[in-house]
Amino acid sequence: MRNTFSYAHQAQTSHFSPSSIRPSTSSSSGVAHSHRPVLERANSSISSTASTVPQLTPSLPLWTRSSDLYFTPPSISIPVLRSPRYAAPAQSEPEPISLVSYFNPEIAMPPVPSAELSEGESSIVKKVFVAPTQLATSQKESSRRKVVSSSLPLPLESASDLIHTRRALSNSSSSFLRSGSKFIGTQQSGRSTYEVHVELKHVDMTESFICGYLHIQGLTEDHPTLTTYFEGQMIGPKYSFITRRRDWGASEKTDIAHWARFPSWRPLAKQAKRPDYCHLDFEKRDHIFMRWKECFLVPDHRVRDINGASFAGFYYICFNQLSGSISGLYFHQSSEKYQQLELSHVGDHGNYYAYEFR
Amino acid sequence: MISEDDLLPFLRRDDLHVQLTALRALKNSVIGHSEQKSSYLDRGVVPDLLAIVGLSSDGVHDPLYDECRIEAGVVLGSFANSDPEISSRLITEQTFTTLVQILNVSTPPQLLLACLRTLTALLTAEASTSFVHQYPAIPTALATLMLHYSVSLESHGLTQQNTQILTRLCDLVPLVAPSHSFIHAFGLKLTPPLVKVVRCTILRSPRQPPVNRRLQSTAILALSHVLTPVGARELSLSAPEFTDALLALLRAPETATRLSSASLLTTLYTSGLSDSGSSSGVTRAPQNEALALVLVPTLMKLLDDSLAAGDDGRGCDPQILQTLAIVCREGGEVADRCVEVGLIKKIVSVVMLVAPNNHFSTGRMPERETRLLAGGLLCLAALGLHKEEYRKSIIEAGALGVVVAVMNRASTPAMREVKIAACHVLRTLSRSVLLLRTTIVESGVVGGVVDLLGDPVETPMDTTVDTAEPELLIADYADEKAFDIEDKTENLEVRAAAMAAVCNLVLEFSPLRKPILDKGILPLIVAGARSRYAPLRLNSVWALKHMVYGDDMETKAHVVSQLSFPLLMRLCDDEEIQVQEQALDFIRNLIARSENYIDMFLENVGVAQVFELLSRKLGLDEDPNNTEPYYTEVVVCTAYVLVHIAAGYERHREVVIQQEEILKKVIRLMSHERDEVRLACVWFVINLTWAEEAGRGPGPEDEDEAMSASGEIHFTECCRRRAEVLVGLGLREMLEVLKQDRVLDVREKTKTAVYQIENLLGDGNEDEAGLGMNIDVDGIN
Repeated sequence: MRNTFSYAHQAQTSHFSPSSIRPSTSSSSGVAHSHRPVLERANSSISSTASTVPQLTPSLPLWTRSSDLYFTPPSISIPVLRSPRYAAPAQSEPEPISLVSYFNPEIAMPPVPSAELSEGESSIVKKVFVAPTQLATSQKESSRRKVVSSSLPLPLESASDLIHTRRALSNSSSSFLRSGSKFIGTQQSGRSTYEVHVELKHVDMTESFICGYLHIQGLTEDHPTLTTYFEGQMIGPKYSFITRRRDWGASEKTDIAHWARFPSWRPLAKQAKRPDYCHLDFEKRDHIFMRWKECFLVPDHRVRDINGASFAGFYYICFNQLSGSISGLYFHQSSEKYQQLELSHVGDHGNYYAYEFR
Repeated sequence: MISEDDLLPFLRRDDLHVQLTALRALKNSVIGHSEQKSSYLDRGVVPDLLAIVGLSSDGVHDPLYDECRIEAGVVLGSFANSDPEISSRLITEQTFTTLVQILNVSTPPQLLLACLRTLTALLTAEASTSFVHQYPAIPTALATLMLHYSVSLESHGLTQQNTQILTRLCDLVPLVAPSHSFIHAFGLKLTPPLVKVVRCTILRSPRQPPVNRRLQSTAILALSHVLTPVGARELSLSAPEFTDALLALLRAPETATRLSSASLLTTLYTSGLSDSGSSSGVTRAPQNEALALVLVPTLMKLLDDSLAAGDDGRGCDPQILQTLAIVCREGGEVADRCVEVGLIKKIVSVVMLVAPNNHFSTGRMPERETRLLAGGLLCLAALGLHKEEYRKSIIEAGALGVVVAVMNRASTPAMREVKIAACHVLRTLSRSVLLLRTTIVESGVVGGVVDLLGDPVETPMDTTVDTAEPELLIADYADEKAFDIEDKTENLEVRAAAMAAVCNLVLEFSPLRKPILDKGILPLIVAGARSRYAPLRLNSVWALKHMVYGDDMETKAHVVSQLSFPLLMRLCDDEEIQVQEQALDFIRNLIARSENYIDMFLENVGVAQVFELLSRKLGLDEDPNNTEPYYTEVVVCTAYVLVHIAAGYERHREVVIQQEEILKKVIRLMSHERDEVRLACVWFVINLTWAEEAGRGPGPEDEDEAMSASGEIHFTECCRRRAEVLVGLGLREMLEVLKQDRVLDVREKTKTAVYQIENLLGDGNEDEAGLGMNIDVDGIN
């Protein structure tokens, strides 16, 4: 999203420098996020719904704070092992004894053939076993033995359902790129900097699809915060570096010019310009390139025009899978060139909510 | 000659000759004369006829007995094959009981044939979803009769009568158990005889007499109806010539033959194995998709032919749509191919043709059109499962209006399947954030779907948040019974389908979440979680899990106030594994990013019980006799419950580190084959060894201490001790391996974990360890 008023007159200079992957926190808008964003709590002020979320208080019925029910002071019960640095692990600890019996080549079974298991057969029980990849005894090699488990049987068919329910399992390649992930940072447009939050709502790697909300603050005076719903295409076998969307207004030339501003794209430049280039294994690479297109406003998708703001363009995105940071360049034919988006991941400590479309 | 008016008394005579004469006269007077039938029905002829049909000859082989029974059977058949007003008056328990009783090999073939004809007509007129449930003897009876009458099929062909009987038996199969919930037990009994009949009719040498085409296609359809996925796999693996013969039949001149063989082939090809690694959740042999592609032209041609017929597609065989639905539910190239040739528009045109055109029309839809509508909607639902493009096309074609109209229509038994199909369409279309936020929110579907969830229930617990005490949740629980024990399964099926749609509609980003919750459905969902009917239980727990997804603390508190922890624990050990998975995921969402809920969970359930449960769900038990199933998905959600507890306050970490059994298992699971499991294990370690910055503190009760420097050192010390415990259990070796993991994300998080451990234990210097906290660590920021 961009401000349609302020920057038309400004020189089209780029503030994008290859070395500044981190978002600039010293910008004029004084974005108030710390150098090191802490784990976002549900009731923290970052949450867009914070004002409507009542804090849990002791007046709530189920909640008492008598932690002594289970809290034992560590000085009493924690086994403190004063092992020297790099000490060999205690010999008695590593493997449960009887588990080892599973490694006996006489009784070990091959890795689970999922054919054994089938939908509608919940009565069939499956044995736990651990298939060895190597029958070694050393500590190091034993840690390489794979623990194997099987996939769940198909969900229960609701009766008379010719469509047995097929699951919409989402697969994620990254701790950062998953449904529910949040990012915080700025959009730099000319001399102004706006605070931006992004929340990913759905990530589907098999469809190279991503969508979420983009919140931008202070873009217009009438609307302190504007939120848009965006959809993203991940560049890979399904979507090419070349946009090929006349309605998005980007030509091949603008595509290349924008991608080329991402340092991590440059090694790909030569191949990526070829019309038949297919960006394979995109999810295994350090960087995932995307295009994000804002579709409508949230909460009311019917609002088409906001005075002083526009989301007619789209972002070229470079997502860093190692750090979770996102760099983006906004493109629209009639707006200032190379307005840049810099976001970093809001730490969640593996606090991943789970949802799965039914 | 007997006067017609006097026939009834003669039917009750003991003299068989008189009875027989009367029956023949009755037959001649009613066949083809609706007024006569109506008049006799008014005078109560049916019980008399049933009494004669059901006569047992008691070992006396008097041919007259049999003749009387046959004549009575024929008369009944004549009544059954009349106008709906007449045939519907035959539908009584007495009729069915009598008819089912005589389905045995000692019944004279002519009588059997007449009975089968009657049963078929009655069940076609008024589909009973639970017929097989009411008459559990019927599968065995049908199977025995099939074997009996197909004896000579292989060798020297069948008599015309035997062919007719076999055809009728096959006709009856889908009618007796139209609902797939009863197929399982039913299918096991009927599959072997049906396989035999089909095999005999499709694999014939030129020397054998030609087979009756109608018998062939009905037998094939019946088999495709009863075949379970397991049976289908066995069949397609064990007999390749079987599939070859069916493929050849795709080119047969008769429409019915082509359609039936396409149906059976569809069942054979789509019986995939579950596999969470694939996008649709199933794996199939790759050649199966290629084979399924062969079916697309056949099925599309059948559909096009019916659409081109004079009645705009009203005459379309519902079986075509049902088969297309099954083909499309697998997604992939097959669905793409169907969409390319315009399937969505064609289906929507059929659906709109037969759909009820306004919400208030109460007129009865013809049975055929009901099936057509249900089949069309299922087909759309199947396409909506997979691709966003399909969903958008379905909506653009105008299908959502039909869904809303169907849902708002009065509930009648005939509309049941249609409503279920409509729920599936709504469910699969709402697999899209965009559609939820745009078209679906405007469709006015909320009222309809909430109504299908059933009547409001009396909750056994106090529902108001302010007055309930923790003890209340546990009290009275033992007396609690499944609320729907009296409910018919078919009602529960509708409820389950509606609940499945609700799962998506109550997601955090759905604008329908609030309107739906405002309708007060939470008690209905909680009641669903107590249902005896597993699919409803599954969908209800799934919906609850979605309600506590995200940071909406108000809804979380509301849900927890209604769902008791004992119920939650029971669901974690549900006999259905999928329910367990959803219940564990519910806990995972409930306690995510909220120390308060971690406390609430631990206190209400008890620390020992919580960790006993989690340890059990992690598997890896040492007992070699353990035959508990071991599923990746369950391990993943259990591991994340642990990750979330370990992300809580300092005291939560301290509780976790005391669970040595769990720690050992987590470390062992770092060599799990699935990367999600390995990743969760690494997060667990990161959280247990993460030295917090000063500000966040270990918890409100220790706030003052947290602010002080000595407090900080204390917590660093705790972290170090936890790291030592983990290292003592063999963590370092596991992390060494994970540094080279094939998955980038696991490697990256392992670096963080290693970094933290080295900082804490690296050189044993406390101050150095403290410094580590200020260094940017990937993944934490």
